[in-house]
This record gives sequence, C-alpha cells and structure tokens, in this order.
Amino acid sequence: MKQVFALIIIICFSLPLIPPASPVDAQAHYTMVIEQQSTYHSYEDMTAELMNAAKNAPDIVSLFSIGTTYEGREIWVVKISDNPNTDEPDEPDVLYMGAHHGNEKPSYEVLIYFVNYVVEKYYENSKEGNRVRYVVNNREMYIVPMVNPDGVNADERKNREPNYMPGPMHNPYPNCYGVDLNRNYDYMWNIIYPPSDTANPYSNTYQGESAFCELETQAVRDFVGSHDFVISLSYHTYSELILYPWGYTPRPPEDEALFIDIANGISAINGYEVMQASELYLTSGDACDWLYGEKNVLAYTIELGSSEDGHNPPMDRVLNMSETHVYVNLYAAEIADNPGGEWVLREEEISEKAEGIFEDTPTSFAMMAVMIVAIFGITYGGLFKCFRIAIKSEGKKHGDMEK
Amino acid sequence: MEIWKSRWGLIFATMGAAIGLGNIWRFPKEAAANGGGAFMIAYLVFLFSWSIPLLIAEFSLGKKVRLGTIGVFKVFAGKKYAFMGAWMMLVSVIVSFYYAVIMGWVIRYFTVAVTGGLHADTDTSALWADFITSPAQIVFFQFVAVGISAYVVYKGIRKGIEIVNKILIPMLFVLLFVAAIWALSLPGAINGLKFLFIPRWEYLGSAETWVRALAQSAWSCSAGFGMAITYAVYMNKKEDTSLNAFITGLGDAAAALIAGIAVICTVFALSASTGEALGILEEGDTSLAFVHLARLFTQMPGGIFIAIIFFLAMAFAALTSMISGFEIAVRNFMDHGWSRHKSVTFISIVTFLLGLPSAIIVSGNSPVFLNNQDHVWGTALIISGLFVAFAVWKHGVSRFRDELINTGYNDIRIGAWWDFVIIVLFPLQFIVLMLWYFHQSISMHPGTWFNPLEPTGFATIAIQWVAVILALIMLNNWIGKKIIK
Repeated sequence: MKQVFALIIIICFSLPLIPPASPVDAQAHYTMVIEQQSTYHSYEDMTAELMNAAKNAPDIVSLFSIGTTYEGREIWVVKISDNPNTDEPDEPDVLYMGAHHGNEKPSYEVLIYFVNYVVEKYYENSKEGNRVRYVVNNREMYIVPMVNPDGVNADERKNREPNYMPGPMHNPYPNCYGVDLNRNYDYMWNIIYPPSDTANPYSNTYQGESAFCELETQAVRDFVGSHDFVISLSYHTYSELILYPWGYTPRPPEDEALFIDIANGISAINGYEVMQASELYLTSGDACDWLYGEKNVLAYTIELGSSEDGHNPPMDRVLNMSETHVYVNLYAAEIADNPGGEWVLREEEISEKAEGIFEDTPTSFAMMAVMIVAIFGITYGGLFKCFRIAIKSEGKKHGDMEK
Repeated sequence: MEIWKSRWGLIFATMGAAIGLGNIWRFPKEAAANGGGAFMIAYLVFLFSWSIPLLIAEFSLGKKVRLGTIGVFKVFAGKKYAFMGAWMMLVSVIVSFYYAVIMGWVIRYFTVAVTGGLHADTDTSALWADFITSPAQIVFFQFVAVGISAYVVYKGIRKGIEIVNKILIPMLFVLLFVAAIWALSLPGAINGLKFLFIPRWEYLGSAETWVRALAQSAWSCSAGFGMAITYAVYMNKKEDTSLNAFITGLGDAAAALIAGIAVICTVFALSASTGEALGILEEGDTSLAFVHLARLFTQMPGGIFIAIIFFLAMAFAALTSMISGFEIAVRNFMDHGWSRHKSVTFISIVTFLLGLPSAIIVSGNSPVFLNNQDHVWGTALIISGLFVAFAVWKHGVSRFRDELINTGYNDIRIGAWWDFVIIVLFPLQFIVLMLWYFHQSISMHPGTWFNPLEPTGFATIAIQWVAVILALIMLNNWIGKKIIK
C-alpha cells in the first residue's frame, strides 16, 4: 500500500517538472513577410497627422485618447461628425478599428487614408463631396486606426507587456511578451475545445491571462460601452475576406441573413469573399464575437489584401486598398440608420442545441407536459409521501420523542 | 450533548445544508446546457444511486458513533483511517473559505437591490466589474457573511442552527415559489419551460451529461461533505436515518426544480430574443446571476421586488449551507475537547483569513483564485463519498445495513438495493467521474495542464489533493489521538 502511495506521489509531483512544449506559432501557415517599409506611418507620424486633421477641420473632427498602452502610447480615436464634441443620440454610431495586430500594416493605413479623405472631400463641391457630407452630418463615425500602437511600433502581432504567470506571485514568464488582442475579448473567451495554443503565453495567438486583461482591449471595451454602435469594421490582413460572427462556433449567428446581406454589399465594392469567421478557423475572444454577442453590433472583420500582399505589401498596393475601402467605410456608415430593414431572426438557425424545442406543435407541448408531470411527480410526490410517513410515525412515537 | 428539539428541526437543518447556491444558480444552467429533460433524468438517477444512499450511510454512521467525521472514521473504520475523516472535514472547510466570499457577493447584491441600486438603466456589467475589482467591498461583505454564519453556530444546535433553519427554509421555498410564479406569468415563459423540460435525447448518449449530473447531484445534496454525519450526532436515539435521507435528497431536488423554472423562464421571457437567452445561458455562473438576471429583472415593472426576493433566497440558501460547513469543523474540534465557543471563534477567524485570497485575487473581472479553489475542491467530495463507502465495505455492507440502518427506529426499511449501490455502483461511478474530470482538466489545457499555475489545469488539482492527503496521512495518529468519546 505504501509503495503505491509513494508512486502516486512521485508521479504527481514530477508532472510540473516536465518542460513546457516549445512555443508554436499558430499563424505558421501564413507566409510571413517581415520587411520593414519606410513609407508606412509610424505611430508618431500617425499622431501628428491626426492632430493636424483635428486642427484643420475642428468642425467635423475631434481627436481623443481612450487609453494608454503599456509602453505609454495613446490609443487615439478620431470622431468624424458634425458637432464632433457633442454626442448626438439620433445619429447612428459606426466604429472602425485597425491594427489589433501591430504587424498588419494596411489595417491602419486604410483608416488613416479614410480620415484624410473625408476631411478633404467634406469641403469639396463634388459628387463625392455630397456623399461625404451626408454621412458626416447624419452619422457619428469613430475611427481607431491603431488599437495596438505598441505592436505597430515593434512590428509585432501582439502587444508588448510581459506575460505573467497566474497566481499570487505573478512572476513574468521568461522572454515572453504580449497578448493577441483579438483573442482577449470577453465573449466565449477560452472556450475552444480542443483549444488551439491560444492558452500558451508564448504563442502568437495568446489569449491573455483572462478576458479583458489587456489595457488596449479594456480601452475598447469601455469606449464601446459608452456608445451605441450599430455596425463595426475591424481591419486585418490578409486573405481578401469579409468575416462575420461567430468565430468561436460553426453555429451561424442569429442574424446570419442580415450579416450576409450587408457583407454582400461590401463584397460588391471590394470583391472579397464573404464567410463566417469560424469557417476560416475557430477563434475565441475575438473582437467581433464580443461586439456582436455582448453589444449587438453588426461586427465585421475585413482581411485586407491577398496572400501575395502579405502583412506589408508595397505602397502602391496599400494605396489601392485604401481607395477601395473608403467606399466600404462610407457604405457601412450609410446603411447604419436601418441595416437590412429589420433585425432578422432566423428561427431555424437559433441553435443546434435547441432544435425544434421552441416549435408550437402539440407533440412538443405534450412532451413538455409529460416531463414536468414525471419529474415533479418523482420529486414532489416522493417528498410529500416521505412527509406523510414522517408525520404518521411522529404521532406514534410522540411520547418518547419529547424526552 | 445537545439533541435536536424536534425531528422537523433536524429535517430543515439537513435540507438547509443541502440546498445552497448550487441549486439556485448552478442547477438551472447545468440543466439548460446539458439537454434539458435529458439532464433531469440523469440527475434523478444519481440522486437515487449516489446522493441518497450516501446520505443514509452518513446519517447511520453519525448516529451510531456520535462523533464528528474524524471520530467516525477512527472509531468505526479503525485508527489508521482517521485521516479520511480529516479529509472530509478539510474539504468542507476549504469549500467554506470561498463559499463565504460568494455569500458576501449575494448579500451585497441584496443590499443593492433593496436600496434601489438596480433599475432599468443600470449597467449591470459595470456594476459587477466595479464590485469585483474593489477588494475593500468584497472583503467587507465576506466578513459579514462569516460573521452571521459564525454567530448562528456559536448559539449552538437548538438555539442557533435549528431555529434559523426552521425559519429560513420554509421562507426560502416561499420566495422561490413567488419568483417562479412571477416568471411563469411573463409572456414568453413557455419557451423557458420547453427548453428546461423537453428532453434532447441525444444528450443521454454523451458521457458529459452523466458526469455533470453526478457532480451536480453530489455537490447539491452535500453528500460526502460530512454534513449528515455531523447533524446525526445530535439525533434523538429513536430518530430515523433513512426517511430523513430521502427527505433531504428529494427536498434538495424540489428546490432546484423551482429555482430552475424561476431562472430559465425569466431569462427566456425577458431576453430580447431567443438567441440572447441562449447566449446568456452559455455564460458563466457569476454573470448569469449578477449581470444578466440582475438586468433582466428590472426590465419589467415590479421586477425589482423579484430581484430582492431572488437575492434574498440566495442569501438564505447560502447561509444555511455555510452554517453546516462550520458545524462540521466545530464538531470535530469539540471531539478534541475544545468548547463550542472556542471552536467557533477559531474556525471563523481561519475561514475569514484563508478566504481572503479567493476574495482579493481577481484578474480582469474574474475571481481567478476562487475559480481555482472551486475547480480543485468542488469535486473533492466525490473522494469523501468513496471514503464513506470504504468504511461501509470494511464493516461488511449487508452487516452495516442490518446493524446500523435497519435498526427498528427507522420509518422505512432499506432493502438489498442499497448493498448493490454501495458495492457496485459507487466504485463504478467514482472511477468514471474521476477519469472524465482528469481528462477534462488535461484536454482543456493541452499546452499548460502540467503547469501548477494553470488555474484549472490538472497539475493544480493533483498537487493540492496529494499534498493535503499526504499531510493528513502523516498526521493520522496525531489527528486521531485526542478524540474524546
């Protein structure tokens, strides 16, 4: 007996000593192009340019920070609307985000371009100017070009804070930096089964110690929480895709029809393929799942560029993408007042789990009634029978029991 | 030694111990997530094949030996096995460390609801986030929870535990019925009933449904915590042990069903869409109660009263369970010769101090240390259950039934089915549950399960369990030495 115990003890205590598997890059199937291009905006370039826009067009642009990163950079938001310093609740809110992943350069370039484009066209007497003026005067557009400026600065997918071990000591893992911000949102966070290596702090898709543990995602969460966004576009690279929720499950979203409807409208502009995010690969803690699941936002991920373009394509390609996506951004803002007419509930797609459960058929009523009677019969029937026996026997031995 | 004033006092006390937060927020969610009616069937199977037979054995042991868990194992199973009783006690004590924290949350939400802090415009996510990340508030309410529970146990069996349960348990049922009837009266409640009761048969083919049902049943009935052993110590010598076990188990299931209707029907009736309702039910326990239900209640006029009733019911359920956790430890200390007052003072200070990590260590909006403790110790009572079965095996199962159960004082005779359950079903259920549990804790964390700092990984369970068992085995003689009969 003692030997068995000893063996068990040895096994249990030696388990933690097994060295962790070497960090694996979950994105390894992508061909990474890591060539620094001097013509991309740095964080400082962007900051200067946005400040300039706010200074030159104070009647439609306001610039503010929604948070500071680990390395001390501001997460800038550009609000473009008439009366940019007041919240006009009757104007639908639209959200654009770039650079959740710092190395995906076109994702912020298209948004910086969009800001410049709108500021320029707003004052122009042209067909394009009319279109821009309508959107600016009747919508509130919020643009976050760099959700992850630290990652942009380091040309890294993840942000830059060291990763700590959970527990009271909170020691950092050696040489281990950053969380994949697009795995850190608190909707179905950490639920992929079997999980990919998002739980591994060394992985490029590390989800973080807990949902919303990162300053950047907290900033987005608090910012989104104080607005009423109807639609959002989150830019990434690459694959030429328009992705809609869910990412965490192959189950289609309740509003699948509406999602596809709007995505087809986007696809008509940029020619990208429309699919549900989970069809590409399963993710959990993705921004769009949270935006849709928690905040009811019609949230899309747009993967800019082809596999040839990679994460930092030549500047002429970036210009091309930027020009195209100006129209995607305007389209998203235009439909925000009444997307798809009504929120569509596709009964047949509610959940694989509950298939047929909610139908108003006589059999479903009968089944429900039978189960309720049976289960209540066993528990309450049994309980009352026990009570009766107890009361009867109490009466019998009442005399002795009191002593 | 004190004796229960009446049989109903004993019955309400054991029901109070069994009915806890597990019935009110865990059962509805588990049932909804694991096939509705199909889960209920599995749950009832284990009620009769694990929880109630175990309660029968525990009641009989406590009544026969008249000592707390350590004494029962020392006297009944033999000197070498006192550590098993110590394990039972430790598991329930460790669970009460963090249970007090959760009870504190509930008290806090009750006070918020009463003082008008919940209304249609409240951002309940922000409310929860603010609360869970402010240690001062959490610790204050944890202190209140420990204080109330300690006071009741301090007053003793008749003046404390018995009176409190006699008042609170009937009230708890009334509150739950009010909440359930209100929920049923809402338009759309029928979808909740359908989701909760219509069996999705394919779930009965999945091991997960069965394992979850067993874990839910054992945890919910407090079978294996040593509660029944402890409360049986104070039984009148002519008291019944079998019928009372059935009443405890069935009463627990009865409360769970009503809570299930109240919660699930509210969620379905007041969510904006069926999809939202399903989404809410897929989220964690804490957000179901403290974020979504808190929000949904306020969507209807009069809903604030139901919110008050709901959190009050949860507070009652938590308190009556917390009391039993304390009494299990106090009984053991008293067996060692300490006075009740000294034991209660000691255990409540320990519970407060060792509960602090669960209260304070929060990552993001998630109480990570508490989750770890729940993960590690919430299932440890399955081992306690096996220890009880071991004591019975050692004595001889049918002999145990003849000598300890069917004593002539019982209102019902327990047949040979009980022998079959203890000999065949117990080890079988134990092995399947443990294998699944370990498989789960490994496969959910493929890269990190061996890392003891992974809060829900395998290594953290293995190390904590083994460390405690080892320490107890080493201290076995010392633990058992001072037991005073």
